[in-house]
Amino acid sequence: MSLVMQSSQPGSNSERLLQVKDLKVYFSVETGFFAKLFSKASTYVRAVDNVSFGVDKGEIFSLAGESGCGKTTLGMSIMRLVEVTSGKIYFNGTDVLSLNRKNLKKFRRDAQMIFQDPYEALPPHLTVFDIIGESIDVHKLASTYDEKMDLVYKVLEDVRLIPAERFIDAYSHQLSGGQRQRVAIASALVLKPKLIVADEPVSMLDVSVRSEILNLMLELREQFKLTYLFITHDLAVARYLSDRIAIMYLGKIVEMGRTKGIIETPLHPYTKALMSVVPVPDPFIDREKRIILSGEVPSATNIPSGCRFHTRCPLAKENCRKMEPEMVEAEPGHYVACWCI
Amino acid sequence: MLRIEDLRINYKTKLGMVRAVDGVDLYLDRGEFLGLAGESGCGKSTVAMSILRILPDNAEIANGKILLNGNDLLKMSEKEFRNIRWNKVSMIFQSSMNALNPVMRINDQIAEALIIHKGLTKSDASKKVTELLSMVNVEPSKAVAYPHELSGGMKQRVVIAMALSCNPDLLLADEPTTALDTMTQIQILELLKNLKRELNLTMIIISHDLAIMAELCTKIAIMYAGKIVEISDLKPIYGSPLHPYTRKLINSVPSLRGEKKKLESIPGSLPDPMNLPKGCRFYPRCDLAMDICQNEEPNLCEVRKDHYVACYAI
Amino acid sequence: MVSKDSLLRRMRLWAKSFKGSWSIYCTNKLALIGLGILLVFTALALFPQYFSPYDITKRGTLEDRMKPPSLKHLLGTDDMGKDILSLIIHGTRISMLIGFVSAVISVGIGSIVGLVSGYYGGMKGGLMMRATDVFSVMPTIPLMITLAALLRPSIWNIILVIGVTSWTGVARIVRSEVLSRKERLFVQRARSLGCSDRRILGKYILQGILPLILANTILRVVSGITSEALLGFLGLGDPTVVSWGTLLHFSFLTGAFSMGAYWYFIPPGIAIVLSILGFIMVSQGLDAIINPRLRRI
Repeated sequence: MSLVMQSSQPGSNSERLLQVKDLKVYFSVETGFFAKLFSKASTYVRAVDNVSFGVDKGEIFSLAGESGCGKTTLGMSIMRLVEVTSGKIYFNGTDVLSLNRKNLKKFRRDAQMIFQDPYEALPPHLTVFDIIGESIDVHKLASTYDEKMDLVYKVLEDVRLIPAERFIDAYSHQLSGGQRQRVAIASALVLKPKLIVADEPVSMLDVSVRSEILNLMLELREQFKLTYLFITHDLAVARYLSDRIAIMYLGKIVEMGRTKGIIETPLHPYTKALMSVVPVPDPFIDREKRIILSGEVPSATNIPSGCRFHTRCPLAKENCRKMEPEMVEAEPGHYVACWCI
Repeated sequence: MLRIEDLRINYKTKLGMVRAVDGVDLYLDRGEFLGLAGESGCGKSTVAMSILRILPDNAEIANGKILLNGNDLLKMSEKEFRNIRWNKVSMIFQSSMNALNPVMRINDQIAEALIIHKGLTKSDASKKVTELLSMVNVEPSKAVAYPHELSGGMKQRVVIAMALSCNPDLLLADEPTTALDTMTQIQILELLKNLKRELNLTMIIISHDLAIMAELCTKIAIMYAGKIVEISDLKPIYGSPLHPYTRKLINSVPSLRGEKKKLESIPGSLPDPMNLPKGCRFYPRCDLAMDICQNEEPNLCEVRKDHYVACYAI
Repeated sequence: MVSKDSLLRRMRLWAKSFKGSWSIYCTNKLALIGLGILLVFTALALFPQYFSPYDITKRGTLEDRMKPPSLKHLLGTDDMGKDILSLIIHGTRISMLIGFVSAVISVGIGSIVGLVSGYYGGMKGGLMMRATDVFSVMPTIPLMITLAALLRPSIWNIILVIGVTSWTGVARIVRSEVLSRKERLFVQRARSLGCSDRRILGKYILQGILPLILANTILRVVSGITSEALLGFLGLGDPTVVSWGTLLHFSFLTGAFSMGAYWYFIPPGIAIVLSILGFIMVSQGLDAIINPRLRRI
């Protein structure tokens, strides 16, 4: 994985903000009493299985994949909401996993998360003022009530919830999905974070609201020099938003590179199949040949040997069953983990 | 084959009367796939439920006709309609996969519909079940499984098999692929396309996903706040949408292919369903708004051949 | 960050939501009747001297003993010639007091145990849960009786005994609610913001379960009143104070049951039942306010 760390992205001199190295997040599954007594190996859900990647300052990096591929777990583990089994996470050079309490709090200011469900993510018993106020109070950003009020007003304007007076005393159940997501973004923005991890922030919103929030996120990146780690299953959204994409399958990154390259010239058979089956909202475009994979995604407790995609891969060879492919730089900036390239 | 005329459905709630469907006109020929598109709350699911007459208790049909091959479904008695439901019209619901009975085997569940509606004997029913399962590409060995043993995609296929078990004329599908993965989604879409060819199926698909509609439908109707604002064949809706709402909606969907351009969004929000404005419902958010739009509701007019729009600005 | 402005703002918000809750409450007729009943009892408890027709410190004349209800004594007299109605009115204060304070103690202990054992798993939580289990397996009534018998008969001891033996139900309910809340997304989000455990417990979990605790408090008051009646009846209450329980006790002791002097032992029973009914009806009314919000939540 040192290949990934040392190589620089073509055309960009920015510093690396986030570096994930050999990350593993395994959950143990409690099997029955007797099974635990008599069997030697426990069953593990290998949600994130040896993942390495880096995100540069100012870029939007998407983690894309179908449900169950581990992308959400990866995001949560970077935010230290889920325990990491092994591996390293570096934020601005510091090791996130070994922070002391004081520095952990500072990290929690610099790295913020937006969640998928705008209905569940906001505390139902607090008003918008309180919700955003929490960020302010926990990190002591204001010393007087008036200062706090000013900060809240300003950030509500930044996320285009205007007139702010209308929203200050509202409860989350009085807001629409898009408005709630804006409040979530506001409560993250007020801390002036460096990194925002967004976990499917628009998939539970209405179609016309999605574009609003996506465009807002783009504008905020310009305005506040933000960096996004964007987690999604929707490849069309990933294409719209991101500078670079990593495709995940069953806990591993199988392909990673600049968005244009991944979308137009995918190299990994899984990526190729995925790109070919995404429905396109345009009946005029010719449909390319669809690569429809047979079977289902294997269970994360029983990951296939060798290359984990070999059970469904149209190019699978004997070697693929035996050895897990390493990530190699097939083209400048374009990384693939496959024996058949 | 299906004709809906001036359908109006209201919901009675504690806070007031909600005009969920307010004057919907549709027609559908045999073999067509109509896509009823719109965002949440526009009334599309209500229209579908009214065709099958499975509206909740607090719903009232204030007006309208639903003519299936000339017969008004709304005027039939419950006894007469029982012959229609599932035999002539059936439905796949949103997240149908969770509507399967968890304590019955798959083949029993499908057979149940056949025995009740078609009066088949157990042995005839089980033969038909095997037929149906192969039609939806489910291995016959899975027939004796329980729902929790199947994957999401397989469950959805079983549900489709159940819906088609009595050879209905019309199949309704409410968000058939929303809860599925990309790969599974395409499997189901291809299945529906094949069934359309093999069985000359007529379908109404209700969804907010304009991408899957572009894959599947022959005709699209766009709904907004209880009314149809535009209806035409597939290509004109995407190629030359006329209604301001449709235009904005089409341009707000990101695409994997084609030119990458900035997504449009629609300012403002949906009108309050209990306090609908006097004129055009889209007026407060429309960039082509004129005075007349505020005062009078526009009706659907045929602006081009088979392309109807409800807008004054065209 | 407490300042005059923020307090004013909070009070304005409370007033607004109170008005809304009140209108929901008023839609339930039974709830309003219950509230009326409780207001009557509260008035009796606070100012018995204004409502009571007779002075209960004075004994009646010999002829006036154990007299059935008449125009002079609406509910008859007891073995000392005192007016039963006045006794019931004075008894309201003690019974209600015991009911309320024991409820506060019981809910207090139960909530703390529930919060801590629900939020902190592992050793701390497990230990507390085992303690709760031990306490809940103990039969409450014999335990109450034993403790009351061991301690000096006084109101405060009764309150203590009831409070200390009836917190386990609350602890379980609070714990299960805390367990489910702990896993909810907004708690994860709070953690990702940098909130400390204490802050999450106080602001996100506790503040959210206050309606639940309120509903439980009412039920504990009901239980407290009945427990007081039981302990009083058994003679474990303070004999120098009049309460519904002690009234029942004396009615038994003086043979009112065998005499058929129904006016001595039925009215306290009715008072107990009425007060409980009042509480339950109010709690139903509160449910209507709490639940829609819970459903939205």
